[in-house]
Amino acid sequence: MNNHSCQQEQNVAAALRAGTLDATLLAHAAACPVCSDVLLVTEVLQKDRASLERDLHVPDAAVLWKKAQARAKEQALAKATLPIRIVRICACILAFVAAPSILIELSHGPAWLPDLGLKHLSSIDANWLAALTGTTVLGIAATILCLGLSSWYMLREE
Amino acid sequence: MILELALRAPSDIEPLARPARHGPLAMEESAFRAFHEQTARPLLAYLVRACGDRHLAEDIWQEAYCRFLTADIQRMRMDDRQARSYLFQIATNLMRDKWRRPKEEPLEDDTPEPVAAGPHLDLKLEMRQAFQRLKPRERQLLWLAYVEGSNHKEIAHCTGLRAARIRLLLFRAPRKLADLLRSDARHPEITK
Repeated sequence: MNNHSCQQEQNVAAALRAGTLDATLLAHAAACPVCSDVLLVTEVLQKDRASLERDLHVPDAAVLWKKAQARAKEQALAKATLPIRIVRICACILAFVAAPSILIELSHGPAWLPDLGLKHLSSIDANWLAALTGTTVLGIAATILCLGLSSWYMLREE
Repeated sequence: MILELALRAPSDIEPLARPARHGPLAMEESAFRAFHEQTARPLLAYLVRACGDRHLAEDIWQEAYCRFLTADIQRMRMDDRQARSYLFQIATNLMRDKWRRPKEEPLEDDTPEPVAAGPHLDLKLEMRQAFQRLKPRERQLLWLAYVEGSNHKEIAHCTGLRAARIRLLLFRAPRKLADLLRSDARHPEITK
């Protein structure tokens, strides 16, 4: 034993926890200031633990199990949709970067604009159907088809 | 007892499409029930005393179990003691995260006070008051060492402290708590 530690310190605490504290260790603890403190602290904390555990209400394991299952499903879903989120972010960045050049191109009046029938949009009145070209109609039809297919794909699980 | 942890290949991560053998979690439900039975009360008691706030302790307790169950431990095989140590480690880390957050109200123990006076209840109250006067880290170490019976290696694993620091803290903390108990004591068993 020295002023900082005692070799019996762990033995005293372990014996008290196990309920096997014998007269020899008790006599040692009475004479040793280190073990005396350890004995007091261990005894008081053990009593506190016993009374605390009696008073505590803990939720059933099934509650935790269901909560963890829901969490795991969320994590699996997030992992599975990670590529979709990455592509979406890339598309947004690309659109943001490309927007100025597209605007510049459109401001010069691109050569393909008349084919879309958009050249006359500003002057369209009630007879707007006449302004549509075959390419425009085809584009609109393809867009509606793609919207329908993608909606069905995303909502089919529900 | 070795806890049965499912060894799942990456291709098995399809809990939404069809249930995996043990669901999306890595541990069997029956094994978890047994584990919960062994650890739930000791863990909550540790958190209540180390946090000093029962509501916070219950939040951390639930979160610790959720993280334990959803952790990437498929390829590990743990015995009971390792699994218990891992759970306490998660809880200790969560507690530390709460303490590190700024702008939090100081933690206070809102555990209902004993309503009737008596020697036993006085002793409990004195113990709680003395324990709450210790630093959080000291409370953690004292509880793990003298209540849970963890050795220095397990405490190091749980708290992230080095063994030398643990030795030093575990020399000082019991003396400090014993002094606090003796200075507050109105009971012969404490003042001896």
